[in-house]
Amino acid sequence: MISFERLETALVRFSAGLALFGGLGLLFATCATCLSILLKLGRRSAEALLGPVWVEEHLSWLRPILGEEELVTYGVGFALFAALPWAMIQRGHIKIDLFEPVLGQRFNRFLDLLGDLALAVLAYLILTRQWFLIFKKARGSKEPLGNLLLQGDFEQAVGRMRTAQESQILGVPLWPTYVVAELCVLAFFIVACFCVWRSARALLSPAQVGQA
Amino acid sequence: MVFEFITPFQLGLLSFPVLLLVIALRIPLAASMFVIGLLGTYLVSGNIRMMDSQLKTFTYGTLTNYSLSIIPLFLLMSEFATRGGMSAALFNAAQAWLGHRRGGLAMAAIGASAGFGAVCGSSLATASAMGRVALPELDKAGYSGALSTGALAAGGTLGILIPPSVVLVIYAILAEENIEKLFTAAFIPGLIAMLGYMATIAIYARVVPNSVGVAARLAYRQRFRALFAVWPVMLIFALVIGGIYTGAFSPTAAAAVGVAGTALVAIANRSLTLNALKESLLSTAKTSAMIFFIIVSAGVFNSFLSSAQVPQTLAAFFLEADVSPWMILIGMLLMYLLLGMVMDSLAMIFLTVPIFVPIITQLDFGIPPSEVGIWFGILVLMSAEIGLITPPVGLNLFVINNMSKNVSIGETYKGALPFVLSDIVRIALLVAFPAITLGLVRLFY
Repeated sequence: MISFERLETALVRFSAGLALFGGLGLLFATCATCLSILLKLGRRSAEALLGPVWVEEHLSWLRPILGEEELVTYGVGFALFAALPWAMIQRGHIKIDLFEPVLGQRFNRFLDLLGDLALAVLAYLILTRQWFLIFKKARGSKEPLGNLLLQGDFEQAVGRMRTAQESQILGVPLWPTYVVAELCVLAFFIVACFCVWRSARALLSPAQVGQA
Repeated sequence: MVFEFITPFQLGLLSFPVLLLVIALRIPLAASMFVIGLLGTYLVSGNIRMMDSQLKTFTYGTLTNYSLSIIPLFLLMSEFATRGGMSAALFNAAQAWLGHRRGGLAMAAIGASAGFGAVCGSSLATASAMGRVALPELDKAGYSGALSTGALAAGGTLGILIPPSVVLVIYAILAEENIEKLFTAAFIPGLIAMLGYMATIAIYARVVPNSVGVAARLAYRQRFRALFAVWPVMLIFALVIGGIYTGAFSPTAAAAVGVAGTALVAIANRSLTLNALKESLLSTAKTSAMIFFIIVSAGVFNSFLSSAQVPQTLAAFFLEADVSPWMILIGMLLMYLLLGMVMDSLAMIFLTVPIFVPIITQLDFGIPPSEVGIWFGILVLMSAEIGLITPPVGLNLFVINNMSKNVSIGETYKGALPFVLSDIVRIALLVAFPAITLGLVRLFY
């Protein structure tokens, strides 16, 4: 049987690692924006000094990054999805603790359990509903994707993913972003389930609160 | 409707006490709003289709939204600013110019907090960064614990009062207002807040003379040298806020520039080690995920309220009622003061803005309707921020009090009281003269 403490350490490390990996998305968004601004400034300066025609002919690459806003959106979006398990395991969600002192230790622990349970249920609902985004019935038959897979019609199943939405400027397919988002929500759900266990354990075995 | 005995509007109204009860029972705000919003949507629509579609798209749509990307970027900028050693340079500069005056060192802490607020969008971060630098100096110079902790807790609020401000971004999202205009509008009230706090210290020092110590007067050469040391902060502020005001950058791009600027300063000061970067990213991740989960939940809850026609019906009720718009406004602001004593300012804003803004923007205050939302945003910001320095849950008070060695929390409460009065006077001024808030907006847009 996996010990609670080992699992907690592993999940804390995993959530921190995922959040840090997501943080790279934030740094990427920062770099993309700054580079784009510098390129824009460079182009304007070059046009002022050398003339727009010459710049277009010889320095056509000197222009802001195409789809910079989309790069920022998906970089930051990744950071946010990746941060969900970390906020959960760190008990980062705002609670109003005004009545905590008067509610009694046991009742407070019960409420902690209820709060974690609510978040876990939400994580489950988002996980199971958001799944739909990946395999959006954009075109083709209305056959459920599960049926397609069972029937072995992989071509149409993959086709569904391909024919799903594309980003407006860069025109890249969006389904990989949905997959990443879904995986992060899955991690959020797993961590939320662990937090329910953590709270239940604290409620049932008061002696172990310090470790919980 | 699933139930016949209750109208959607009544259900919407009923959801408020239920929500307040649930969050009073320490259920996370995000989960409370999400679950009640989903249930309400189901009860009003009578089927699960709308609920289903919200679950499918709301989270992804909110987390991958360019305009909202500004929030984690400003949070990361605040992290880098906090770790970048800028607070010490700012305090030194303010101290060099103000330290020799009566109460000057506390005024310097306020000035430095305002300077820090210009590159930091968070109140707690400003309070803790300035507290770390200024508290030992105030203590050494013989300032009373009440004044030094009260002043620093109040100074921390300048982090959100002076743009950029994360709270203002959240207001902009909820009220569907323009972020650029809100940042522009916040500038003069933020400066007034700083001057108001300094004036409060000057009065405090005269009323309680033994609460302040003295510091040596520095030569102008030293003063200018100290001032020159804060050029990175000034440059970042000029780039970020100047970029937004002049329209050179979008607010999100300006936030990214701010992240890069504060990171470069921190690297130059050798304070952005790999460990510090890791801590900054983790702290940003935690706060961002918390805020975004509430934004998603608030979206679900507000969609329920809209489907139950709550904001629209309430707005129509107040329009028809024979009550002065000013009384309604004052009532709302008083509610912020009271709620601020027991509730986190973010929670308060998420719960009230979607209801208050549709009402307030319908009322006639003698200013163009398009400006009412901006003006109200600044008033909400100012009123909500008072909650950070009022007992029993004023977070800034606890942050600063924890840092001080021999000051009781009671003394800190007492020390913060004059600053609360200064806040109330400022809000009254901004209510009476909307032009103070809207002047710059009219000039730029």
